[in-house]
Amino acid sequence: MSHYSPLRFGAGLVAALLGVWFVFWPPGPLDESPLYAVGPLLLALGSVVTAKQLSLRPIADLEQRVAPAEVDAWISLACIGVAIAWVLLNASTLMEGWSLQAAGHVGSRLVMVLVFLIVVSSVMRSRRGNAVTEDERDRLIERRALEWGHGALVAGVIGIMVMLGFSLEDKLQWITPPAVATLLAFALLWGWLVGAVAKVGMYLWDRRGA
Amino acid sequence: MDEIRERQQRWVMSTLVWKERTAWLALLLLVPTVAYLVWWLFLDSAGQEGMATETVRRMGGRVSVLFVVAYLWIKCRNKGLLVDERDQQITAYAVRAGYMWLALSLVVTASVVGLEPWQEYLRSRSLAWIEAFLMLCLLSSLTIVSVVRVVGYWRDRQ
Repeated sequence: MSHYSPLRFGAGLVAALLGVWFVFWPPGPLDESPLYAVGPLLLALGSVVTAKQLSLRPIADLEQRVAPAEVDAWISLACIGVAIAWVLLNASTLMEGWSLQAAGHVGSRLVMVLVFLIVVSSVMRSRRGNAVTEDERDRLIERRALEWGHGALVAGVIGIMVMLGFSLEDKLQWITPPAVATLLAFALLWGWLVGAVAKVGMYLWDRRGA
Repeated sequence: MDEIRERQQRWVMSTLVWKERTAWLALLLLVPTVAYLVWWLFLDSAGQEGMATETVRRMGGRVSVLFVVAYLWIKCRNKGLLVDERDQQITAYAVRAGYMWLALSLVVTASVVGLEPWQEYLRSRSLAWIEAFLMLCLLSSLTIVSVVRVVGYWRDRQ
């Protein structure tokens, strides 16, 4: 296992995905089967094999040129994009009400996305070995992106306040507690999205200028 | 030449002190406002019944608009050449802390409000109450920003 093998990488990935399916998705035809209990084991083994193979994979030219923080920024943007798409697709359900079961369902998916983000980011960084993974430029971009994200979140909350304060009462019949919760969650995601877009944009701008 | 340099240094020093003073000023403005909002939202009988007086609504709107304008004004003024590495670092810490606080408060609020057992509580409140609660989240986040800035400058001076 000391060198990269596409076969092992593929097998590990398939095992991890099967594990994710068994662990997080509602039980399907395998509900009564003992195979369903193997899910966590498949997820753990598959993730370890995939991460190991990914860390052994030779570094490509493009990867060499891109800063690890920029890779993180792209991964974050993709994850936030997926989360926002999921919220928008399920907006009507979310507006109706959040049961404890549904909250657990959402929480498990968010945790899954977060774990994926951390694992991929750690593996990509470990591939750099002892090389410098963060410099002054990364810190500056991080700082500015944070300001953008914070500003967007504040603007989102002010937007909700303005809507509540200046709209006519009968136009706000749809403002139920679940709707307020969904609006707040969306404002939060909006802040993260703006921060991630700003970060990626600043990296692209910087590379174009260099 | 030395005199000009000395004058410039003094000007820089006075401006940096002024920046710290603005952090104190923001803190002194925000703490009573947040305390008043907490009292009105959770302790005052009118607030508990979910009612908002017209004065509170009008005042709330005016104060928030005034605050945002003042905040932007201060921020624009801080973008000059006199922002050094120390200011940037303190601001970055402060913004990070404020952002985390606001995100956390919104996550907790959304989770609590969205769950069925707590929905009755929010239904008994008016839209003005929700609006005031959001303002509390926002202003408490800005208070955290000011606190971290003040502490940052104080620790730096120590």
